[in-house]
Amino acid sequence: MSLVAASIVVLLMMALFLGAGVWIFAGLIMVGVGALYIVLDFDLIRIGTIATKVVSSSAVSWELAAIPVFIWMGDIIFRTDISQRLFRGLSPIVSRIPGGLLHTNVIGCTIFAAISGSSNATTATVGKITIPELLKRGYDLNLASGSLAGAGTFGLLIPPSIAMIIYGVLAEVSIVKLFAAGLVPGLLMAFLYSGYIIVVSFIKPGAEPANVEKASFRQMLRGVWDLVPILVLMLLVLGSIYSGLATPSEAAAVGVAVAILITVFTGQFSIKMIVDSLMTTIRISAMICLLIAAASFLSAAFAFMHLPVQITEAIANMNLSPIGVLVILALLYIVLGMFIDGTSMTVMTVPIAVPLIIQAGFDPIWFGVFLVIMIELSALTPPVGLNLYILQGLTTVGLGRTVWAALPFFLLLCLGTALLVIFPQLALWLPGLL
Amino acid sequence: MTDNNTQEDQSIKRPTPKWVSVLEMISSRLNRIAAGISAILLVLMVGLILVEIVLRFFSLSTFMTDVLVGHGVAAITFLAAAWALEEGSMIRISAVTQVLRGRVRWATEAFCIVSVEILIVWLMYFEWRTVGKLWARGSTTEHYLPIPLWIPAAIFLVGLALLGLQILVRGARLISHGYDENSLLKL
Amino acid sequence: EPVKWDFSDEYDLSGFTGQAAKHCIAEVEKIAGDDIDITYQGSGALGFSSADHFDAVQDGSVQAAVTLLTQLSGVDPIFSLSSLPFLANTPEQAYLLWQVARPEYEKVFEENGMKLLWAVPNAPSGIHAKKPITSVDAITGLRIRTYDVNGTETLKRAGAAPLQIAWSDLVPQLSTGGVDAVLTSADGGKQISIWDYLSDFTEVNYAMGIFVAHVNADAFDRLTPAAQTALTVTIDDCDAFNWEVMQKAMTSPYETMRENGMTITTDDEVPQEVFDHLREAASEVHKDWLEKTGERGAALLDAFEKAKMQ
Ligand code: NA
Ligand code: NA
Repeated sequence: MSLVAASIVVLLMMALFLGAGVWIFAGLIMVGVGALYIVLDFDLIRIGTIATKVVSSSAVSWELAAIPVFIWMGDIIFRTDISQRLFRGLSPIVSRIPGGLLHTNVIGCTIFAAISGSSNATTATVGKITIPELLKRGYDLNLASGSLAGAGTFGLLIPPSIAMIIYGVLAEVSIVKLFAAGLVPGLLMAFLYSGYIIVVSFIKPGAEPANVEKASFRQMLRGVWDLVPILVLMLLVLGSIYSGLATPSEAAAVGVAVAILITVFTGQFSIKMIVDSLMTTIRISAMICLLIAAASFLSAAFAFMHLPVQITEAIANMNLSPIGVLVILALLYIVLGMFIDGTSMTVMTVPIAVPLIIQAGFDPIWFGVFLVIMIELSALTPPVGLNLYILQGLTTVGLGRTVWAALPFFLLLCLGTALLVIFPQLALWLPGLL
Repeated sequence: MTDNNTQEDQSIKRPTPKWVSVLEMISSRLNRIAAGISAILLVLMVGLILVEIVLRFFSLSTFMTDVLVGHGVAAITFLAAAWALEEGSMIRISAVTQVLRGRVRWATEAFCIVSVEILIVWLMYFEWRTVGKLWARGSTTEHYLPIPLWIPAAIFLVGLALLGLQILVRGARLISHGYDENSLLKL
Repeated sequence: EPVKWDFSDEYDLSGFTGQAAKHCIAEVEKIAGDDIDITYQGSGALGFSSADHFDAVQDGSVQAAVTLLTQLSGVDPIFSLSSLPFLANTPEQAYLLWQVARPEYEKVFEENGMKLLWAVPNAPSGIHAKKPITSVDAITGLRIRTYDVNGTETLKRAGAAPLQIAWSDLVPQLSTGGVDAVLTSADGGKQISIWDYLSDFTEVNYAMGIFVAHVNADAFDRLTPAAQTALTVTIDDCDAFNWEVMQKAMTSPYETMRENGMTITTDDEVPQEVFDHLREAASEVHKDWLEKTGERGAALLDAFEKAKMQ
C-alpha cells in the first residue's frame, strides 16, 4: 500500500472511532490494530501480542511518574488558601497598570506555572479564583476569559513542564536544558499578553471598570506578604532542580512535600483534604498516562508501517527550505491540534518530526519549545481544546463565545512562535549557560 | 469537563432494572477498591523518592527507586483507569455525538460500547497468556530487588478486567435506559 | 516479492548496535538477494526496549532484534556471564568468552523458540572521575554512578559509594556535584561531553558486556533456503566486524577527550594493587553467580580458563 493510501486508511479510522465518541485511549489502540491488520495484513495474534506488550511496558517509566506527582501538588495548592492568596496578593500590585486586575490572570498563571507542570491544572486553579472576582467587579468577560485561556497554557512552557518531560524522554534530549529553554519564551508570551491587555483597555472603553481603586503602597506590601507561600514553593521546587538536590523527575515530590508542609504550618492540613486530592489526582493521571501508553502503541504501529521514515523522506524530497519544513510542521500541528490533545500529539509526532527538524538543521532543544507552543495552541482550538472546556465550565457561557474570546491570545501565541523562529536565541540562550 | 452536554433524552426517566443495578454496584465497588490501592501506591512512590533524595545526602541509595517508581506509575494507571472511566474523566470527543438525536445517537453509543468491549476482552486474552508464560518461566526484573515479571502483567490484566466490566455496565444501561449521559452512572 | 522483516533496536545508528545491524543486514541482503528485505528500526521505534526483545521476538511480534545480554539474567542467570566484573580484560578475551559460552546461550534461545546470531561488544568500561584511579584511596568514598547490580555490588565492596541515577538525570547530577565519578566506556563519557564536569578517565577494564542479535525460529524456518543460509553464514564475519568497530572505538575518543583537557590513565599505568583490590571486591559477585548457575556456570568458567591458556 502506498504512503498516501495508508495515510488515508489511518485518517478514516481515526475519524470513525474518535468521531463516534470512543474514549480516546481505546480509539488510538483501535486505529493501531486496524492499521496493522488492514495495511500490513498482520495476523490478529501477532497484533494482540504487540498491543498488550507495548501498552503495558510503555506505562512503566520513571520519567512518567512526574505526571501524577505534579498533578497531586497542584491539587493540594488548589484545596488550600495558597491559591486565594495568589489573587489577593497580586490585586494591589497590578491595580495601577491599565487593565488592572485582568493582569492577575497573566501574572498569576506565570507564577503558578513555575510550580505546576500542567496547563490544565494552571488554568483550572488560577481561573477558579480570578474569574468570579473579575466578573463581580465588572471586567470585560471576553478579556477575562481569553487572557486566562491563553495564560493557562504557560503551565507547559514555563518550567517545570510535563509536556517537556514527555518530549525529553521521547526525543532523548536533556530535560533540564528543555526546562531552561522554555523560561524566556514563557516570559515573552506573558509580556505579549499583558501588553495586549494594556492596549485594549486604552482603546476599548469598558474593558476595565471605571471606579478601580488604586492601591496604596502599604496595601502593595501586604500583597507581597500574601505571595510568600507560593514564592517559597516556587523557590524550593526550582531550587531543588538547579542545585542538584533533586532531578527534574524528583522535583515534583519535593513540591508535594513542601505543599503539605505549608498546609501544616498554616493550619489547613486535614486527612480529608489529602485523601480528596489524592483521588482527584489518580483519576486525572490515569487518564493522561493511559493515553500516553495507547499513543505509544499507535506510534509503534506507524513504525511497523514505516510511516515515519516515508513521511520524513517525502518531506525531505520536497526539498523545502528549513523554514518551509517548519511551516509545514506548524500547519500540521495546528490541524492535528484541533482534534487531538497535546500529549497524544507529542507522542504521535515526535518520532516523525524530530529526525526531520534535525535534518533541516534545527536544535532539538529549540524544537522542544516550538512543539510546546504548538501544544498550547491546540488547547485553544475547538473542537478538542481542554482549556476551552475548563473555561466554559468557569464562565458558563457557550463554547462559541469562549473560542472567540481566546482567539486574540491564540494569535498572540502565533506571533510569539514567529519571534522564536526569527530569534532562536530566545530559547537557546539560557540552556547554553548550563 | 468532557461529557458535559445537557440535552436529555426522554428515555432516561425509566427505573433501573435490578440486574443492572447489581452489576453497577459490583463494578463500582471494585473500581473504588482498585482506586484506593492506586492512591496508596502514589503516596508510597512520593515517599520513596523523598527517601532517595535524603539518602543521597549521605552518599547512600536504595538502588531501586527508579524501578519501583516506574512500575508504580504503571500500576496506578491501570488500577485507576476503570474508576476514571466511571467518573467521566476519560476524555472522548463529543463534538459529533452531541448534535445527533434519537436512534442515531443510541446506535453511535452502542457502536462505541461494543467496539471498546471487544477490544478490551481481546486484549485480556493476550495478557492472560502473557501472565501464564511469565509465571511459568519465573522471569524477574534485573535489579537489586528482583520483581517477578508476572506481577506487573497481572496488574495490567486486572485493570483491563475492571475496564471491561465498567463498559459492560454502560452497555447494560444503554439497553435498559436508552442513551444517557455519563453523570447518571454515579451511584 | 521479498519476505519483509523488521529488526528492532533500542539504540540508533550512531551506536555500536546500530552500526552492527546496518552492516550485517547489508551482508545478509547481499547473499540472499531478493529473498529477504530487513528494515532496521532504531530508537525503540517499534515500542520495545532492549529488555522487551526476548519476549517480543519469541512471540513473533518482531522477527529480529538486538538485546543487551545481561538484561536477560532475569530469564536465566547464565546471561550475566558476559557482564561479570574483571572476567574478560581485553577485547580478545571478551571474544573468547562469547565463543565459549555461545552454545550455552544458544540452548536457552532455542528452548524459547529463537535462533541466536552474532554479538556486539561494548567498549570496556572505565572510571571517569576528578582524579586518576591509581590508588586504593582514590576509590574510597567515590560517589560513582554505576549501571547494573554487579557494578553497584563490586564498587560498594571496594569502598566506593555507588549511586543509582537514570542516564537522563546524570548530567544535572554531574553539574551540581551530586556524583563525582561515572563507570562507563570512554565513548559513553564523550557522548555527554563529560570533560565539562570531570578531568580524568582511568582504564580499569571493568567489563565488556555484549549485545546479541536473535531471530524468531518460526519466521526463520519460513524463509527460503538462500535467506536462511545468508543469515547463518554471515555470523562469523559480523562478529569479526563488530569486534573491529569496538576496538577502534576503545581509544578513538581519547583524542577528543585530551583536546578538552582530560587526562587518560591507561591500564599499564594503574598499579597492580588497585586491580587486586577491585578483583577482590568482585569475587563475591562471581561467587553469587556460580551459586545461581551451579555446574553450568562452573563448566563455562573452566572452559574459559582453558581457552585463555591456548
Ligand atoms: Na510549568
Ligand atoms: Na484543540
